[in-house]
Formats: sequence, structure tokens, C-alpha cells
Amino acid sequence: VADFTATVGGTVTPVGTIPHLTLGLAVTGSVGPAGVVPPPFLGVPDGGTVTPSGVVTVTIIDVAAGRVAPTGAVSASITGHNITDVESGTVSPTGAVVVSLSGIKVAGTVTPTGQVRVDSCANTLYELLVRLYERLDDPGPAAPVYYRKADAVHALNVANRLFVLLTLCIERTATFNLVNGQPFYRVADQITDFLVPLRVSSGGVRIRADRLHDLDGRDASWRNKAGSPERYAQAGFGEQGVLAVTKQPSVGVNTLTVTYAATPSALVNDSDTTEVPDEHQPALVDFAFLWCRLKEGGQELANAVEYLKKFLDDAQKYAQFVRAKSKGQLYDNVPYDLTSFDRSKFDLKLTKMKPQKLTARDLK
Amino acid sequence: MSVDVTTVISNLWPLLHATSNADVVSTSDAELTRLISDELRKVSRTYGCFIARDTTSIIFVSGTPIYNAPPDHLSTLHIAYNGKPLTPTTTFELEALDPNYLTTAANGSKGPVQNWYSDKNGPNLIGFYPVPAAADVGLSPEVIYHIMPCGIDEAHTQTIINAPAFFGDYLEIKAMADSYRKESDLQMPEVAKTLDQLAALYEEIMKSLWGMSQ
Repeated sequence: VADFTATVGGTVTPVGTIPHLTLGLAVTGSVGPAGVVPPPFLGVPDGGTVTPSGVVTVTIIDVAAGRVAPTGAVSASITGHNITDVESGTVSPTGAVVVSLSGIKVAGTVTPTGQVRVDSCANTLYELLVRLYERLDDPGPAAPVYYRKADAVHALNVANRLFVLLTLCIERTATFNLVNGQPFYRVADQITDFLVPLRVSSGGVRIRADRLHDLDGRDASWRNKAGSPERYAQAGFGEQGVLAVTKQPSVGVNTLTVTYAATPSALVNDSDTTEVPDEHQPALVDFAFLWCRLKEGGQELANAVEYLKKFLDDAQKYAQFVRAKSKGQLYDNVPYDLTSFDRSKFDLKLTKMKPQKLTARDLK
Repeated sequence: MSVDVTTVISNLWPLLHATSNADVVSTSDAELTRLISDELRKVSRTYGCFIARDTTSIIFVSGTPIYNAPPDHLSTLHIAYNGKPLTPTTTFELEALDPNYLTTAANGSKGPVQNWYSDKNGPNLIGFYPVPAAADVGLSPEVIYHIMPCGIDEAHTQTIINAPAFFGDYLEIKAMADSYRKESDLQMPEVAKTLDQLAALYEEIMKSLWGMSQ
């Protein structure tokens, strides 16, 4: 359970107030005599216990919501996070306590005596940071000592982008508008997170991937051929490259349906989550650990290389799944085959420094 | 998406044990910019990831067979004129076909412009056969070509590279590797080696996803 734990504090009576600490955002809600804390949330294990007269400990990532027992004390403290604002909420005989941060709701169940467990698997950026700082043996993202939070966030973003690049795991489908009679387009004009095309269709009919050179070879007049699109060629980096389409529609409003591998959005806010599959998110921490340790060099780096290999193992496993799936669907691009990459080259052989023998002259 | 060189460099400071150009040891903002610019050229020519389409740079002049290639030209992928692709050829073949290939005018017995060539002329020059004539004056062929983005400068007047975000990470890795490799107080060969291998992974991916698509 991760990012930080929040013990929401205050007195609960049939009617009362809950003072809280939160992340600087308004926290409001009500507490009912007995009931449910819908905790939350985006995949963050969220837990706590409620007794009729007791303490509610809630692990909050972004938002916590729920109802608290009829009478009792609710005390709150949030640790592991740079929280200074004090917020308050309303407790009434019946109702719900809703703690919301950044518009993300944390939901769970609270019984008069019991534990709140949230069954979501996605890690927020903050949770990933906590894991990374634990591995780095640094106090944490709230009060880092050796690694600035911004640097750790960057490390996780590099990991996120590399994992997605290795596996092409983010797949999107978008509509691409065609101009009648126009053979060339720039993907960036309509799709901003484009990496490589996977499948393109027009009017429900798939069109085939090709190369500019082959389009020339097939038909010298391909760029002036009226009709429904039959082939496309995409060359160059991501969305900045050239997209050629033949044939070119001449009448009406025409579009392509483009399924493509996308680049991930940057992780910025604590509540942001990655699009990497939940089960592979710990791999991001593995890579980020290496990234942070790079500047240490020596044995620290040699140790961190093992985590890099774990990251690559994870990526390979998922890339194989995506490859198989993509081949099954006859996609136009499949992820890079990581098995062909020699990982042993990452191994570091550090030279041991031999103690210098002192001679009698040195001792003089 | 695009990559901003200043962002890449600011991400590099903590990785080089610094907070800014002011306190970095053994390297500088300008040096990192040059490293990034050089890597950009290397990637461009090795993997051909940067591609542009130009329809205005070459303007035919009657009787002129050879023209400057479009800006930042690296190698030509494809040329078309009047809606039809021109056939790439060599000067050796043209000499065999027509000893006067440098003067034979288009639209005569040899028909319209139908070939392009770029050997024996020096770099970044493209020749056309038959030679553009009066009817071609003012018209432009369409050129699709590999480009070498080379406008990145130390003064940061040009900082944007049109590439996906991961390419910024790649540039960081390469610049960091070079910084840790060179002989200085910051030298750590093992770090440079690890970064080189990491960069090699990115390069394999670029080759796999973009290298063959042209």
C-alpha cells in the first residue's frame, strides 16, 4: 500500500466535522453511522480500519471517499508526502466522506470494524516514485535527500517511453482526414502521438502497407490515380514522416481509419498513471533505478545493471505477446525482437584496485 | 511531438552531477549541444529516420542539367515531375545511352525529363535527363529525401528536433556517454560503456521500426 497513508482525524459524532490533512485540495464529505468508505481508486491499495469509536487509517493516493462509523474519533495524518494544508469535511449521521485530490476518487468499503482494501493494480506516478526511492534507500519523494523528485520523475518517464517503444503496447485508432486528389500527407498534422502504423483501412476495407519505391514500381501514375485508397506508404520518424496514399479519392468526404502504436503521455502529476500494463509497471522502477544510479558508476552501477536486465526481461515478455497478437492480426509493424539483442554486453567487469605495496622508502 | 534540445540538456545536468551550466565540471551547455548535434547527424545518416518532401527548392532553368539538392539533403529517396516518378540512373548508363546527356534537351526526340542522377557531380547535387528545356522553366520536381537536421546551435536559436519523445532520451544517453568517456575529472568508462549499450538498444529499435520502411 503505497504512496502515503492518511489517518483522517477528527471527531465523529452523528453530526460533526472531520479535519483532514490532504494535498492542498478541498476535501469534503460526510460520515454516516455505519457504512462504507468507498475507497478508491486508481489501483492503489488503500486500506484502513474503522471502529465505531476509533481511528480510521486510510491510505490515500489521490482521493478517498467513504462513510465512517456513527461515533468515534477519526484522526488523520498523512505521511510520506509534502502536505501542509489542513482541510476539513462534514460528518453527518448518514453520508459519505469523499476525499478527492486532483479529481480522482478513491473508493473503498469501511465497516465499523474492518479493513479497507482497494483492489486496483495500476500504479500512480507517486506510487512508482515511492518504490523507486525505497530501492534507492532515499527517504522518499516527499523529502528526498540524494535524488531530486524531478530527476526521479524523469527517470520513470524514460523507462515508460522505452518500455512502450520496445513493446508497442499502446495502440490507438484514429480517423485521418483525406483531401480529394492529394497523395501526400504529414501524419503530425492530424495525429500527435504517432509512432508507427499498425493497420490502415478506408471505408471499412483494409489498405496495404507499401514503400514509396514499390509504389513507383507498381504504377508510375500512382500519385494521380482516382479511386478508393488501396495502398499507403509511411516513411520517416513517427508523426513527422511522409504518408503517401494511393489511390486518391476524388469526390465526397473521405477518411482513413488508422490504428497505430502511440507514444505515451509524460507522467507529470502524482496521480498520473502509465499506460504500460499493470503487471509490468514494476519494471519501470527497475529501469528508473538504473537511470538514477548511472551517475554513481562503479559497483553501484554494476549492481543496477541487474535491474536493467530485469526490465528487459519484462519488456521482452510483453513484446512477445504483442508480437504474437500483431502477427495474428496481420499488423503492418511488430515490436522489435529483443531476443536478438545481446544483453551480456551490459555486464560490467570492474577492475579491482590493488593496494599499493609500501616500500621502505615510502615509510621514510 | 518534438524534442527540445534545451530540455534534453537540462535533464542532463543532474546526471552529470550538476544543476546547471554554471556548476558543471568538464563539460558545458555548448559542448553538450555540439554532442547532440553530432549524434543527430550520425543517426540521420545511419538510420534514415528523418525524411522530408520538397516541391519548391529546385526550379528548372532551360539548359541547366544539374541543380542543388533541397536544404539539409542527405540522400534522395524519390523524385517525381509532372506527377510521374523519375527513374534513378547513373551517369555511366546515361553516357552509354546518350553521349550528350548533359546537353540533350527535354521534350525533343528523348521526350520529357525522365531520369535523375547524383553521381559524379559531388555531394548534394541532382542531375536531370533529358535536360530541362523551355517548357520546364519555372517548374519544380518533387523530391522526397533523407534529411540531416543540422540547425541545432550553441546559441539555442534552433532547439526543436521533429522526432518522437523517446529520441530525446536517446540523445541524452549519447551525450552522457560521451561526457563520461572523455578524459576529465568526470571520466567513468564503465558508465560510458553501459550507456553505449543502452544507446545500441535504441538504435536497433530505430533500425527495426524505421530503417526498412523506406
